Amino acid sequence: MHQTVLLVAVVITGLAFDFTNGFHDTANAMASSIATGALKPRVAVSLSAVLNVVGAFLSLAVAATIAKGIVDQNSVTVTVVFAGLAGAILWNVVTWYFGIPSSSSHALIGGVVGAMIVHAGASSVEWSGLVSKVLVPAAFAPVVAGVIAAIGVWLAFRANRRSKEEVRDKSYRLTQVGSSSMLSLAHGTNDAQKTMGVITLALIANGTIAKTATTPTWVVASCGLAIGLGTYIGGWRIIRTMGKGLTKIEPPQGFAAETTSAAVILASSHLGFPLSTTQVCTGSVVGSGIGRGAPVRWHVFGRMVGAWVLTLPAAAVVGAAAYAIAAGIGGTAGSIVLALILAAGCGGVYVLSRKNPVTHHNVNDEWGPAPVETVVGEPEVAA
Amino acid sequence: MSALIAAASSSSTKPTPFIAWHSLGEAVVAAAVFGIGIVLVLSVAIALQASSASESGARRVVSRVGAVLGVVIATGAVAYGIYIMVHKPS
Repeated sequence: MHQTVLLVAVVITGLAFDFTNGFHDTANAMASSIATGALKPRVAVSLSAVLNVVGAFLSLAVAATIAKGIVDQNSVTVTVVFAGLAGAILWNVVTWYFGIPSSSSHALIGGVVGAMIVHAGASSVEWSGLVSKVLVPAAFAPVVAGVIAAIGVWLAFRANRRSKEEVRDKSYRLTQVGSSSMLSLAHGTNDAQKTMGVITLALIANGTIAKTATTPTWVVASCGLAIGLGTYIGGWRIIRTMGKGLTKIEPPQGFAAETTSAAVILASSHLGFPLSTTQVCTGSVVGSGIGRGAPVRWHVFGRMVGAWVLTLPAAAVVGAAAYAIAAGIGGTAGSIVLALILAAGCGGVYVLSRKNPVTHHNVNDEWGPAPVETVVGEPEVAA
Repeated sequence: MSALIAAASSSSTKPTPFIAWHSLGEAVVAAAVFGIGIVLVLSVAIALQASSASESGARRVVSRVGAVLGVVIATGAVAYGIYIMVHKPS
């Protein structure tokens, strides 16, 4: 009975994590296109949602392990996974409330690490793996993406210095549909499968499916739909920060930022050096501002970097507390209490967010006072 | 992920580098070539398309052919990107 309740809780929580992952990461693919007017907000999130679902089915190279190389795989239990998911969901919801793009994958890893420390001690965490697989890539991702995007934007404006602005922008808006679609598709192939792996692992641990079994179709479909639904709901608060808060984005910048993001994500993951989609996309947007010589709101970027630094430890603390509650109470009651606390926490943040709602109606409103002019790159080229 | 090597888990007598600089370098170069390359190719295509409106004769044809070529190259890059997504390393 207890194992079944725990399994159901993990499946539901896993899908809930996929949902938060969807609305949290919509901004990565669509913020630039929405900000430049290449796509209307609702059209953008609908397109992104469909492509996320398609992406979930596109590749089934699902890793049936979680936080591989970071925690001792033999010590991972279903309760640890449940608590880790709880930590990741809460961190995703809190950062969404503040409109800060942060890595959902890092949140999940943090949640699992925290739960593992309580469950099996600090020695169950492979700290070197944590540094080399999470922290080092996190430091590189925004820098690499930012530099490449800055060069791309400079070249884009340079190539079109004699083009009429309206003709140029119309063409770039069209290309942005393609570049943002690629990002959405890549997101679906990567992120939906993390939860597929989590749920598959729980099913194997419960004996529901054999160890050699492939991921059940219902798992693929439900994970794809969960991330698609989350994407469609649209994390407008984060979209607004990415599209309007960092720098003023024109269509050539949006296209260059999205294209370089897709190139960095696909190239790095293909060559065995996967980087955080969120950090790559944020770096690209900042780089697109630098490459244009447009002012960047560094204090907004600083808040994001602060959140990135906090993601792992904060999710770990919540994951640890969640595990302590679930294991402390024990049995079915522990799982139910943890699920209720998680639901209450998410509900509370949602209620708070209603006091200052950001929707598709006001997502493109001006951010506030124009950022202080700090020209770093080339001066603007006359159209 | 295997490109990032954790030194602690290595059984080799030679210390394994904590950061796989070679793999990182490869990833950066590939990302730069594709990222900057596609942006440049499509930007040139857009510039050629825009300039073709004010040109005539052979120059106009050359500009338009160049623009189409740029779009074809970018489309090929998109197709390759999808191929990479489908055949990503497990």
